[in-house]
Amino acid sequence: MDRDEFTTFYAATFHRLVGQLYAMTGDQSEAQDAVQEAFVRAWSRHTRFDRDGAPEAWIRLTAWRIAASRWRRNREGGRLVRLTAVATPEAVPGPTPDHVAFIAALRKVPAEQRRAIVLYHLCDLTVEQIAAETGVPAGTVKARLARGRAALVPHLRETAASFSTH
Amino acid sequence: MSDLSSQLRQVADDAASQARPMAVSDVIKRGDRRRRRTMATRSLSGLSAVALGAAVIFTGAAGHAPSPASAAASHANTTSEQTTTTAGKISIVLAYKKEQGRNLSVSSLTYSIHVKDAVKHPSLILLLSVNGPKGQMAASAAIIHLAPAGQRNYSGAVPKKLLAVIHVRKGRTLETQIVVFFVNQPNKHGITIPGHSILQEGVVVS
Repeated sequence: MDRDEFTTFYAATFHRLVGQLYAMTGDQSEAQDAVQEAFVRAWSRHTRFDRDGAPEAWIRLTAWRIAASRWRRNREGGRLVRLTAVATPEAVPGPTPDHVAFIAALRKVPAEQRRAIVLYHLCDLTVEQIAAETGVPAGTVKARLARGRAALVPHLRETAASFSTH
Repeated sequence: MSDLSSQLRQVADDAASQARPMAVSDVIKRGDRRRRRTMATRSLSGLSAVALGAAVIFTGAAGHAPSPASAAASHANTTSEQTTTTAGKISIVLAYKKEQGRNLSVSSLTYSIHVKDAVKHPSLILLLSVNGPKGQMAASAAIIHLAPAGQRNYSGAVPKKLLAVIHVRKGRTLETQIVVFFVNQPNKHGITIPGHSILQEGVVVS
């Protein structure tokens, strides 16, 4: 991928990838930082970057790994708490209250299940593609999707119920 | 689950609209810097694995540093890099010719170094690493002992004799990296892997 191709690719995918990572991590600044760093890494290996023909998937996977690695590193510092705690409006700048509630519900889902749900429902990947991206068997992906949905549905209902009372 | 999909999409779209990307030129600059760091580390590991006897040793003329840079050939490409750290500042300028996938031909490599603390055995280690199209890598190194010792500023050009090292590589190459380390190198008979070089800078030609 040469400089022009990279520039076009960066402009076309950056925002979308931040959105996807935000859905996976629930943290806007973390998502942006991780995607930004993934693009830096992509350029650092740009001569081999698009060899497999799936550069966007590579960025998403790398950004996820960067974010996951930061969570692990900062776990003692308590930043992981933000993933499991109920979101505050300050933690998610801008979105409407229903989005805050939805993200709060999503955060209650274990990380790998949440990742599978985002890849399936947001990135429109097939189970096989998710299996390839996450490095687990298709059966595991199906199980994660099922458990994630099962965990999420009650929260969605809670969300709906809370909205109906307002 | 279509509701789940649409809610996810809405949340992601909101986050995407708030994203503030770094300028692509900065991404490229940081990427280049990262690549140089990675390759330097890899090259050094490779060097420690292969016989260091392959390295060319050169000792600069006693009493003075190598002569100042000669003008680069007008038809050559020129690239320069500079790094400033708490230890000092190093800048290098490489003039070269390279056709796509062919050997690199270096016309001149000049350096300028300023260190905060003078060292007893100031030396430059010139490290060349070449990446082939199938991921294979070759590395070679050369050393330049700078004189006089105890100075805080050094500048000059890498002697032509040493630049010849860079020309010997044959076969198709994907990219070539040249890294210059400024080290305190007491051993005049071999190259110490500069795991803790005082300053380092490099260029990548692909």
